[in-house]
Amino acid sequence: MNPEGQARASRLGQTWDDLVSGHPSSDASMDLLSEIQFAQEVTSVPSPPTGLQAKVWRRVHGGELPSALSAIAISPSPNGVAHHDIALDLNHRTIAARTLDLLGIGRILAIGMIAGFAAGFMSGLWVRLAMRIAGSLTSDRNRGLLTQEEAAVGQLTIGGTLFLAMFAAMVGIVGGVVYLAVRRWLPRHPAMRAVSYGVLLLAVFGFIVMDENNTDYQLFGPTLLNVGSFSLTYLVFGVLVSVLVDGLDRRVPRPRPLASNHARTGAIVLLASIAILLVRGFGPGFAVAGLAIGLLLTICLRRFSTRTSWRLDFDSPVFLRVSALGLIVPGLFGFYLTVQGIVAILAG
Amino acid sequence: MEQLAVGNPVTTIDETMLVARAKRDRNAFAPLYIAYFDRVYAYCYRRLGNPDEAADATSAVFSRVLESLASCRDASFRSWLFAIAHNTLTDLHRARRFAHSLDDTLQLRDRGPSPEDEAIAHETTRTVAALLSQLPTDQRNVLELRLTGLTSKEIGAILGKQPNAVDQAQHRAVSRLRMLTANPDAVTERHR
Repeated sequence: MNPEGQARASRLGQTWDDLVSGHPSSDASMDLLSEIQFAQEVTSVPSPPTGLQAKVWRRVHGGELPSALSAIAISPSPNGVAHHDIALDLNHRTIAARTLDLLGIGRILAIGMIAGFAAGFMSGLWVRLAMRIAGSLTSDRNRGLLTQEEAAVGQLTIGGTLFLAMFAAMVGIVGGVVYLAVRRWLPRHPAMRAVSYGVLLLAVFGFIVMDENNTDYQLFGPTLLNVGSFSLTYLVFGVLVSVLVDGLDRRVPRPRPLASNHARTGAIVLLASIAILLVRGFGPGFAVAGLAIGLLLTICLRRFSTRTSWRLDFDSPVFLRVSALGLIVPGLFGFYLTVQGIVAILAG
Repeated sequence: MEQLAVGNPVTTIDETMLVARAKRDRNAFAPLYIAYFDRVYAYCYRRLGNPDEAADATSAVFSRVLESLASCRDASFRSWLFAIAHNTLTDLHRARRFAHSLDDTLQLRDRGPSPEDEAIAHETTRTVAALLSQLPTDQRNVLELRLTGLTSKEIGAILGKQPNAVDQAQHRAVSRLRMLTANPDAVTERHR
C-alpha cells in the first residue's frame, strides 16, 4: 500500500474507532463516514428472531431471562439515580480493576463532600439572613444584647458571617456524604428528591438547631417566624446538596481503565516526585530507605490482597439491610428529639 | 447516517462492575448477555450466512463465555467476548470442513449440484455471507469484528495484529466491497 493509501487507511480506522467509542469527531471527513456507512449497509444482517434471546439464555443458563434487565444494568437503584455501582471485590481481580473500584469510591465521595461544602456555605449565609430578619423584628430594647452564641443582636459583621458560613460548610460535608448514603431511597423525581432530603434532614437532625433550652427563639423576633426560618435552613441545604450532587454525578466523568503504559508512566512520575521530595527534605540516604520501605509495603499489600478474600459490595442485600437499619433507628430518635424541641420552643 | 450510531450499550466502568458480579453469580451475567446478544448473533450470522446456524453458534459462544467467565482478566470485556466468538466460529468452520471432507472421502455426498441448489447458490451470492466470502480471510476477519463495534486496537489484540495492520486490512476490505458490489457479475464469477 502506498503512503497515501496508508494514511487514508489510518484515518478510516481512527474515524471508525471514534464512532465505536461513541465520540465521533466533529471534523470527520464525510468521505470516510460514507465509506463506513456503506460497509455497514452492505453487510447488515436481520435482527435475531423474537424469542431467540430468551431461548438461548435458557439453553446456556438453564433459567428464565429476567425481563427489563437492561435498565437494571445501567441503574440498579429503585429511583434510577443513585446506583452505588461499586463492588470492591479483592478476589480474582486485576490491580487495574481494584484501582478502578477505589477511584469510583473516591469520585463519588469527592462529589458528596464538595457538594456538601458548597451547599453548607450557602446555607450558612441563609442562617445569617434568618438572624438578620430576627434581629430586625426584635424590639429596640433587645438591640445590642448578646445571644446564647454571644453575638450582639442587630450587629452583623463580615467576619462573623464568614465564620458562620465556613462552619456550616464544614458541617455540610457530612450532609453531602449522608445524601450519598440515603439518596437511593429518595423519590425518583429530582425536585421531589431534593425537597424530601431537606425534610428528612429537618426531621432527623432538626433537634441540633431546635434547642428547647435556647431562649433566643422567644427573645428575639416572633417565635414562630424564628422556628420557620431556621427550619428552612435544612430545606435549603437539602435542596442545594441534592441538586449539586446529582448534577456533578452526571457531569464528572467516571474513572476509566488506564492503558498499562499510562499507568507505568504515572507510577514512574509519582515515584520520582516522592524521591525528589524526600531527597530535598531529608537527604539521599533517607530517600533510598523510604522508597525501599514503600516498595516492600506495596509488595506485601499486593500479596496480602491477592491471597485474602475481601468483598465489599455496596449493592448486596445484606449491606442494604444493615445500612437501612443503621439509618432508620437513629433517624427515628432524631425525629423524636426534633419534634420535642419544636413543641417546647413554640410552647415557650 | 442512522447506521453510524455504534456507541456501546454498556460503559467500561459498568462492564467492569457487571463482570465482577457475574463471576460471583451466574444470574448477574444477564445484563451483559442482553447488552451483547444482538451483536454476537449478527457476528455469527455474517460468518455463517444462515439464521439457524447463527442461533446455534450464538448459543455455543455464550456457553463458552459463561464457562470461562472466571478467567476474564481483560480490561475490555467485549474484546474478550469477541475473541471467544471468533475462536468458537473458527472451531465450527474447522469441524464443518472436516465433516464435508469425510463425506467426500466416503462418497456420501452427491458432488453434482441439484437445480434447487444452483438456484439457492445464485441467490446466496447476493447475501452478506457470500459477499464477505469474496474477501481474503484476514480482511474478512477484521471487517466482521469491526462491524461488531470493536476498535482497531481490540481487533488487533484478538487477531494478533498491530492496529495499523488492522486499519490497512479494513481499508482494503471496504475498497474491495465497493468493487464487488459495483460489479455483481464479478462476485458470482469469483464465488464460483
